Amino acid sequence: MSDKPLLDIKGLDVSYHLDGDVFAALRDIGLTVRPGEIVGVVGESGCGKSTLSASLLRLLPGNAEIDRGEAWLKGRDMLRLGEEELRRLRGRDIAMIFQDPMQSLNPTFRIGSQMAEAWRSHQARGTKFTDFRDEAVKALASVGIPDAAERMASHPHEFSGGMRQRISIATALLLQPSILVADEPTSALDVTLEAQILELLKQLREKHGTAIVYVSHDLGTVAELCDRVVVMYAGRVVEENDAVALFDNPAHPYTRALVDCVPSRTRRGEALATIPGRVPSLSALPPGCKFAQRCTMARSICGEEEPGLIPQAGGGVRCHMFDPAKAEAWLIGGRTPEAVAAPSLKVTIREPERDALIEVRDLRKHFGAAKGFVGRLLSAARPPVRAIDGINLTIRRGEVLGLVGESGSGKTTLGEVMLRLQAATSGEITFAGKKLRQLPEKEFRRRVQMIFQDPHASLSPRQRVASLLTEPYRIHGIAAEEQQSVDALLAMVGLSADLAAKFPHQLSGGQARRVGIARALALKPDFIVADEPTAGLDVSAASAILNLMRDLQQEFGLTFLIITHNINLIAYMAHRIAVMYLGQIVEIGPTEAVFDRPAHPYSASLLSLTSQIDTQERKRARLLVPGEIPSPRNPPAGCRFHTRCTHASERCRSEAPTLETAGHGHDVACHFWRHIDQEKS
Amino acid sequence: MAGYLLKRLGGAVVVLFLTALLLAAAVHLVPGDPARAVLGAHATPELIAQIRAKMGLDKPVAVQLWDFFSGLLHGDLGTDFVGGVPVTTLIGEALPDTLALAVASMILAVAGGVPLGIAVARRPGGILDRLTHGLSMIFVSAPVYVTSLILLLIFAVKLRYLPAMGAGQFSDPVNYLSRLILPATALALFWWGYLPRILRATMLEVLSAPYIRSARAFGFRENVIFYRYALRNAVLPIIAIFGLMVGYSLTGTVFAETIFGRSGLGTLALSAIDQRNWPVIRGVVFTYALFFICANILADLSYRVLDPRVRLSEEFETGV
Ligand SMILES: Nc1ncnc2c1ncn2[C@@H]1O[C@H](COP(=O)(O)OP(=O)(O)OP(=O)(O)O)[C@@H](O)[C@H]1O
Ligand code: SF4
Ligand code: SF4
Ligand SMILES: [Mg+2]
Repeated sequence: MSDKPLLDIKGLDVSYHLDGDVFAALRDIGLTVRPGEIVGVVGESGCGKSTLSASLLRLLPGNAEIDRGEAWLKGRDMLRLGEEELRRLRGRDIAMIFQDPMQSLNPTFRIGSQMAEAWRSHQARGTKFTDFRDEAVKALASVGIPDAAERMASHPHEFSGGMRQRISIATALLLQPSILVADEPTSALDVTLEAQILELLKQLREKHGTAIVYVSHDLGTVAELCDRVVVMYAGRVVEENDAVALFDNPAHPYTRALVDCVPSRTRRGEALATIPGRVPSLSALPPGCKFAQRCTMARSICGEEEPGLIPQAGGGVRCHMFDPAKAEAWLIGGRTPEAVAAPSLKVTIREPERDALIEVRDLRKHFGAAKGFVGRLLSAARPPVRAIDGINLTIRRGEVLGLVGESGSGKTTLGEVMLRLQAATSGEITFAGKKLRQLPEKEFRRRVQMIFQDPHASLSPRQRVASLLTEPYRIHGIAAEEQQSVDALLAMVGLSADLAAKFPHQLSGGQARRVGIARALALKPDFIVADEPTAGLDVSAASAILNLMRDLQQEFGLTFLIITHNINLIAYMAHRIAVMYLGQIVEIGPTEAVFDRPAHPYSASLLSLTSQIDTQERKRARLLVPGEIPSPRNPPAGCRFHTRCTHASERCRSEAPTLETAGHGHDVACHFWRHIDQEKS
Repeated sequence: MAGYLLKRLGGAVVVLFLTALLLAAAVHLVPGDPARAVLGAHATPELIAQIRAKMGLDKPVAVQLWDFFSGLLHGDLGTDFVGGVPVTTLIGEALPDTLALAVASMILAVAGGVPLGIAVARRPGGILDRLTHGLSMIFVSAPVYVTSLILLLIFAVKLRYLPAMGAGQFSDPVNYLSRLILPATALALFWWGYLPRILRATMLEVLSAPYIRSARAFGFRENVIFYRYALRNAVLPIIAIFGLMVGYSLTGTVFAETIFGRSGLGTLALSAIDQRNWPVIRGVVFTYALFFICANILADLSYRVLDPRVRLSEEFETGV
């Protein structure tokens, strides 16, 4: 790595103009990228990460204006180049891939033709087209597109999301830019695919020396991938440092709070940090430090004077606390600020009761399953989708069970069938000792609740929060004296009472989700299914939700089934973890046991691929899962995982393994788990 | 694809059948006895009965329908009440003039509307955009008979640039074409207002799509992005409009033919309605329906061929 920067951004200001208002999206941004370096950009939603990454290519939307600054790339200031000169730089010197792989390829053109267009854009006239074909096939093959030569003639919709992101990367590979900007390239993907893409990015750097600017709100993947990290807040760089130093020793109060918000196994038994309030509006920024309203360390000077970026070893911090001339305001009895950091709050996770609350036996849900003899004959050519296929599961009262697996493994369907929001195709559900068939529908509905994945979609838009919260009482005809007040419900989920008069669209994502939880709690249910309770939320909003769920479990002994692909969340608060693959549970057991000794190759991979901020935790080997999850319409014969399992043998292809015990309360469905286990140790 | 085609053809047959049914019913619902209309007010009851029998009006509706459809299969649409000429002959004579007008108007519509739309989308908010915005309002809301009359008055009567009345003869192509210009323009005006607006909207939408931004990030030439990438996707919805366009042109020809005194299906239909000449009415309406349905199927098919995504969702639909 040479020290001369490839890209050097200095004093960049960008504003958005909207309906006469000016939004200060970026202010005084400095950023350098050296050859072959991977720089991470993190921060909450709306802090300007995407604006920054688009500025690096001068690809901003029409209502954005670059007010000031310089952007030096290979000795030229991009901000002062003409359109045509700029176009020549884009793609060949600096390229970009985007978050939504489903939409970043033109749907009506074959991928070969799109790659050809990119290639042609940077060739002198008269270059032979045959050269392109060979290079494109090579690029596609190297990002793992099978049958690359034939697939060039396919249209984007014939590829999965993960595949499309590979195609974008292959296009970059073809042009060999010296910098690749990747704005949340894996946010729409599963852990297994995310790991594959991250691996590709690492290879890009190793084989071609490409420098990468990796933008993400996921601190874990940034910690895994990046050499250096830039933290953004309200359009400013508030901290910059080497990745290891930054995550091990966050200096800026904002960075520290972000890191402390992230759940992980090592944080089990501690309350997660939360950051109160929100990113201030960019059209009416307060004077002084933009983080002052949310900062636990704020002093009076913070509201008066905006801190500059104070150089530190490895980077810089935008905080008065680190300015030797101002630091005395923070010295308490001569101690340095770091030492003053609040000790984390210890919490306990309440142990579950002995008796089972909900039990499912041999549960199946097949979509498009034919009914009757004739129907079965007719549909012989098109088998049903086996969304869940033979699930046995017992959840004890007061237990938190985490359910993980790739998308398409049937997690949400299982949750909904258990709550009878969808009818099961076959199987039996027992709730509180009674067969579900014998339990009156209404009573069951009152005692179980679901927290839906999309909080806004699950709240009726024309009702005020107060009415939404009391609706369950009206539906179930609960007597007034048994009702909890709206204020009490809001307080329970940590929302202020003045929210009661708002409509759902006036709430932030985190608030809407809390209203969803409050609504679920109104009837004092015994059992709650939470589907991706933190998906799409900023780390701080997510940690607040997790703290809340953990408190509820502790206080009322609530039983939770948490469906998520965020394994860190399970590691943080679940008693047990169940891993699903193609409609079946492949491993289930106490969280500690499964994390210490995962027995199934699939769970072992999932756990190893989970991004970690913790430097110690990051030292493990990453077990990539090749390929993608097959269609649940035609699950592979024998062990369903055999098409992707590195341990698969002849037996796996023909004989389906059943769950067998691998320890106390720890079951696994793999023929060779003992074998694999011994190899490991 | 084959399955889809079959489905559409089946649908077309059903529509045609319903059209025939409606027309048969109309004979009885529309006031005025067709036989009396043909013979005049002073015909004797015997004569009327005789004519009625000749027209087949004394038979039950089901039989009438059967006769109609069995005739149709042999390419026979019945005989004109008044002149005794086979309806197919009448339609055969009138059709070319109408088709020439409809096709000419559609060519004008596309040749004017699409480039204009592209030019407008190239510089949204520019002079051309603002100019066409106002004009298009007028063009879209003015009915064909108004535009026809105005064009006729200005270019034929006042300025005498072009002939005013009649369709002319194929044998004199220059004269024939010069007589097409005004009525075809009258029909195309609507599309000169409509197509640029639609194209502008779809173009701007496509140009803000994430894949366009991706293309820019890879340094695609701006011309490639605009004319190859965006245009193709923006034109797709326009192809879907093609069916509508055929329908508009065909109904529009009725007004244009009347006002410009052209021979054609429209004039034929109007005189037939005047005379309660049911076989002719039925024949003409049927021809209209046939063209309309074919145009829609054609538009749909080309949409499918051009947009790979539709092909895919189609597979899903027929699969489940
Ligand atoms: N075209 C636009 N017009 C006006 N404001 C915009 C526009 N695009 C973004 N903004 C605003 O600029 C700020 C920064 O947005 P940006 O998308 O860069 O944030 P981000 O950090 O990428 O957020 P996320 O994590 O949600 O992707 C936000 O307040 C956003 O609302
Ligand atoms: S300057 Fe003050 S308010 Fe801002 S981060 Fe530092 S301590 Fe907090
Ligand atoms: S049974 Fe075979 S294929 Fe399945 S997980 Fe075990 S080793 Fe892999
Ligand atoms: Mg963003």
